[in-house]
Amino acid sequence: MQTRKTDVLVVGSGFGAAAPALRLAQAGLAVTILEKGPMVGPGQYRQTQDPKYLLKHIKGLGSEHLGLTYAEGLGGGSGFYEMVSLRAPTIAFEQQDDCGRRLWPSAVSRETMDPWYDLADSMLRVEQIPEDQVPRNGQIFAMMMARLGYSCERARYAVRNCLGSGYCVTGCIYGAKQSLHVNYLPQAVEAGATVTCDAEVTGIKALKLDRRDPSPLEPRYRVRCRIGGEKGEDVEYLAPIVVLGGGTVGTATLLLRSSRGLPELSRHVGRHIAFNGSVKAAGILPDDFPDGDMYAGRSHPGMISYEFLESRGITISTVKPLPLQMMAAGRLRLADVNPTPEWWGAGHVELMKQVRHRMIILLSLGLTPPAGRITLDRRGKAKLDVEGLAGMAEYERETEAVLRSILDRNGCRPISVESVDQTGMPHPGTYFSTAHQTGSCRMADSPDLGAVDAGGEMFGYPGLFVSDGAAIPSSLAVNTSLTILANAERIAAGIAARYGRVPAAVPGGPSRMAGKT
Amino acid sequence: MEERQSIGVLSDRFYPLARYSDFLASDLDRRAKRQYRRPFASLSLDQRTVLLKDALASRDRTTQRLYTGAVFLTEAAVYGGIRDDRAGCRLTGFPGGYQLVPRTKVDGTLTARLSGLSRSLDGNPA
Repeated sequence: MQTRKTDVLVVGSGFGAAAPALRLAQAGLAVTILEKGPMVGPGQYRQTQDPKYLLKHIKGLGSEHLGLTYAEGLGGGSGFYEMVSLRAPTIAFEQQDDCGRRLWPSAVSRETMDPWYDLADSMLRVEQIPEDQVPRNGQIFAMMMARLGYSCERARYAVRNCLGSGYCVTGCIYGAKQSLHVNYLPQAVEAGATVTCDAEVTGIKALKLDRRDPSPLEPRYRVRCRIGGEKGEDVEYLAPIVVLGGGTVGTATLLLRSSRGLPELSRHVGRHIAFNGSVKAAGILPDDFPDGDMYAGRSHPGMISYEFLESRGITISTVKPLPLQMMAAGRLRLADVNPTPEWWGAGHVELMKQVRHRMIILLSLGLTPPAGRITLDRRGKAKLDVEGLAGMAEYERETEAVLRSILDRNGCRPISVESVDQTGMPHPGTYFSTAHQTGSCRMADSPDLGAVDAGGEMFGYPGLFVSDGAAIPSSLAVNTSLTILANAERIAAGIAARYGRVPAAVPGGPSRMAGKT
Repeated sequence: MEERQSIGVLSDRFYPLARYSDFLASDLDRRAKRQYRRPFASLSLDQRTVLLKDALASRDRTTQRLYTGAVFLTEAAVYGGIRDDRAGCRLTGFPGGYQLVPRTKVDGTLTARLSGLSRSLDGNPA
């Protein structure tokens, strides 16, 4: 097996990985990025509903009550997300556990995060959507909220010269989306980082250091990896600094698989997964509303309401799923017809004909507690569970009632949405599906409460960092990408201040924050 | 026609269901001959619907799962227009990929007054 040395090994290339890769390369360190998924970017994206393409890049981990979706490929989720780039509200940082302890480390709040959000905003060129670019569905949602006297915000996006093709979630073929392919990753390479795709890290082992006072850049970890798929080449890397940025699912799975090589691994690894409690409700617009259009304009409809954030812990928007996303989300049936219509056949076709112009689907993201857990089965495959389902069921019922009330009071005909699994079988009872999962290696003030400290460093393992969504300790009630990126910038600055060979140049960045957590 | 072509998805080996496509075809025929004494392909839409409904409600859990998966996959193929990126689905008005519409025709056309609804100046309420 070939052995290679590097200063920094970054696992993953998404929102949690790209910032450390860039900042540590800028700090004069040799950076190696290993991405499990394929090399993919604007030149390879397709505007398609073909599962053969989608399943190559979009992966899932499911259980009876929870389904997580994530991307694998260069740039991670940044290639396939809806470009929504919102800061988590203050209330998200102030959440507490059942014992009244703050979920986030004491040093991290919306106020301390704002400079890092500023930096992330500038790197992704985030801007609020202009009024004349809000898609029709977003405008209809705003009209519904306005009729009831509720507030609504124009959302913020990482995009330039959007053409509104409606295929953000299969990858932007026009290069308008400001995914990591057009900022962090090329800049990291320019600063000296190397990127290898189809490189799956299979295990991490902490090395025993010979000397009592090793130099900061003496290798501390042996990381095994397979490059080029199942029949590929096994390579091991020796590195003093390992930064895990493979996402909530990927990072927890890798660490759990590495438990032999990391015998003091925190018991919190794999636990406390927050899933931003997404709940949906759908309806058919009444005749006095204009037509919407599910398939025109950007994938996200442009408007979001914080009206119920303080009272219910939720934000509300509408969604514009492509047909396959809609099928994957659930069985749709008109709910005011007796007997209940079938979920297939001629009657269902009549309902599906209304989807494009007359259907509105409300979606809430909420501050649900971190109740998901990843463990490994006997074969070492990740397994997902939810702890404390009773509270979740109540949350789901109450949130759906809020959404349903908005639809009812606007005169919409109700549609029931029955969750299904990947084979189309219904999920009875409470079920949450999301692409906004966080946690699994959460930051905390002490090892009793989390897996990594406020600087992202694993308790008991100097030089081993978690900088991705896995480190985020709570639900955010908004899309998670910007918070993951801003936090990764914050963690990267701390690592660079400690190990960097040259001071990192962060254009317009919060230099006063460097090294502080 | 395009909907008929989408049925091909059931025998596409990319999907695990392909292993059972022969069973599904013969089982449908068997059900058709038992109930209507004719092959499935010669039945009317209503008759086919009755048979599928029976199969989906089968007491045998495996049969029920296979039929559910087959209907689900067929719906996904038809509504998603998955056989051709550009095809879309005429039934539902899904235009398919690479059909760029000028943004001025789809965005901001309802002239809703959106700014007056907001709590924040920049879309980031604290």
